[in-house]
Amino acid sequence: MSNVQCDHLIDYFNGHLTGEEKEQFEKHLSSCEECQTELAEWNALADDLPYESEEIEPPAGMRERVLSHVFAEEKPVATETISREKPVEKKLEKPVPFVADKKKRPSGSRWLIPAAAVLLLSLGANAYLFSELQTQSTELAETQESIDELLQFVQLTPIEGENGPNGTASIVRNGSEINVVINASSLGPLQEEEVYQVWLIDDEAPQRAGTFKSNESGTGTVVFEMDVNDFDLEQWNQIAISQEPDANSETPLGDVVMASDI
Amino acid sequence: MPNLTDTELYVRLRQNDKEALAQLYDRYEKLVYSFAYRMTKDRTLAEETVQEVFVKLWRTNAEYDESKGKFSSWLLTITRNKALDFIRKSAAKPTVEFEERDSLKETAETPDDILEEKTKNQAVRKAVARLKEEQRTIIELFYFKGLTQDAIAKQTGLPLGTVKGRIRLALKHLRKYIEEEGGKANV
Repeated sequence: MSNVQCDHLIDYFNGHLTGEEKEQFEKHLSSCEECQTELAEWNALADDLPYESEEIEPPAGMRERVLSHVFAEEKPVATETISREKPVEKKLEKPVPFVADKKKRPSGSRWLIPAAAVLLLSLGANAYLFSELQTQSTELAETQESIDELLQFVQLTPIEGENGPNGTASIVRNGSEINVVINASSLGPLQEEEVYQVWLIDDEAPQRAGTFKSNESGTGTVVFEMDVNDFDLEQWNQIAISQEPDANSETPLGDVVMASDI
Repeated sequence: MPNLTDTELYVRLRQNDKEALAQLYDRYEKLVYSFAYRMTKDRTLAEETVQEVFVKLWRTNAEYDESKGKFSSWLLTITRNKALDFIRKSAAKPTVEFEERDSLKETAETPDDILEEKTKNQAVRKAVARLKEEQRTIIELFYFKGLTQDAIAKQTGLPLGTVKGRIRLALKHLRKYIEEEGGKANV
C-alpha cells in the first residue's frame, strides 16, 4: 500500500480510468503483486456475485432479436452449417395452403404488439445514439449501420401435435438488406440428404426462403437474404417449413412441419 | 452439438459457426439477462446489454483464454462491463443517490422456491444475506453499481482511504460464507 497508485485499483476495475491514468496504472500493476492479487480476486467475483441475481424470464422474441442483430454483424467467411442463399426468382405451380385457409386478416391486427415493441426499442436506440453523438461521431456511424428494423415476427406452430416442431420467424431490415431469420426447435432427425426448407407463400406460389439442417438437439437456424427491390411484405400470406428429401426442391415435396400466417 | 463444452463451442464460433453461437446463447441467455437486469434495473437496457455481449462474442475481438478461468465467468465479466457502460450512458438515471431499496436483498423465498433454485444461486444469496448491512451496501456500490472510489466514500460516509479495506473485508466474509453454504467460493 506504499504506492499511491494502489489507490486507483477500484477505479481501474470499474472502468473509470482513461488514457494516461489507465496507462500509468497498468504500468504500476505489472510490478505490484499486491494489486495483481487483489485484482485477480475481484475478477473471480464473476464466478459468484452474478448468481446473486434473481432469475427472470427473458422477454418474448429476445432470442430472435439478439441473434438476428448479432448475425447482421456479418463475418467475412460464411459458415457451412448455416446456409445463406439468394432467392429463387421463378414462380411455381399454385400450392395447397399449409394452414387452414383463414380469411386474410387486416394486416394491422397482428402488427400492433411487435410494432410497439420495435418503437420502444428504437426510442432506446435513439437515446443511445444521441449520447454517442456527443462523444464520438465515427462510432455513431458504425452504430447506425448496424441497427435492425424488425418488420415482422411470428411464432411458427406445429402442424401435428402441440409438442411438434416449432419456431419463430423474423423479417428484419438492416440497411438495404432484408433478412428472414428462422429459429426452429423440437425438430425430428433427418435422413442423410434431407433438409428443412423455408417457404414464403403468396396467393400464387411458394418461394424458397432458406434451407437448413437440424442438429442433434433438434434445433436449427437459418438467415436468408431477400432481394430488397423485390421485397413486399404485404405480398406474403404464410411462412412454412417443410421436410424435404434433398436441398433441391423447387416446390414443397415433403411434409410441412410448421407454419404461420404472416 | 449438445454435449460440447463451452470452450469447444467457443472454438467453433471463432470459426464462424453460427450454430455454436446460438448454442452458447441458449445456454447463457437467462443468466446473462438476469444479471444484466440486476445491474441496470431496466428491461430495455438489460436486453441491449445481452445484445452487446453476444455481438462482442461474435466479433473477432473477444478473446477467451481457458487458462484464465471458466467461460461463464469471462462471459459474465463482459456482461458486467457492458451493463456498466449502459448504466453510465443512461442519462435519465444518474447513479448519484444510493437508495436503500437498491441494496442487496436478503433471501425471502419460501422453502419451495429455495428447493427449486440452483444450488449456486442459493448459496450465493444465503451468503449475501449473512453479511452485515454495511458490507452488503459496499458490495452493491462497488460491484453492481461500479462506482468510483470517491463516490463510494461519499455514499457510505467512509474516509476515502478506508474504502478499499472495507471492500476487502466484505469480500473476505462473502467468500467464507459462500464456502460454508456449499457454493465453493473461488480464490
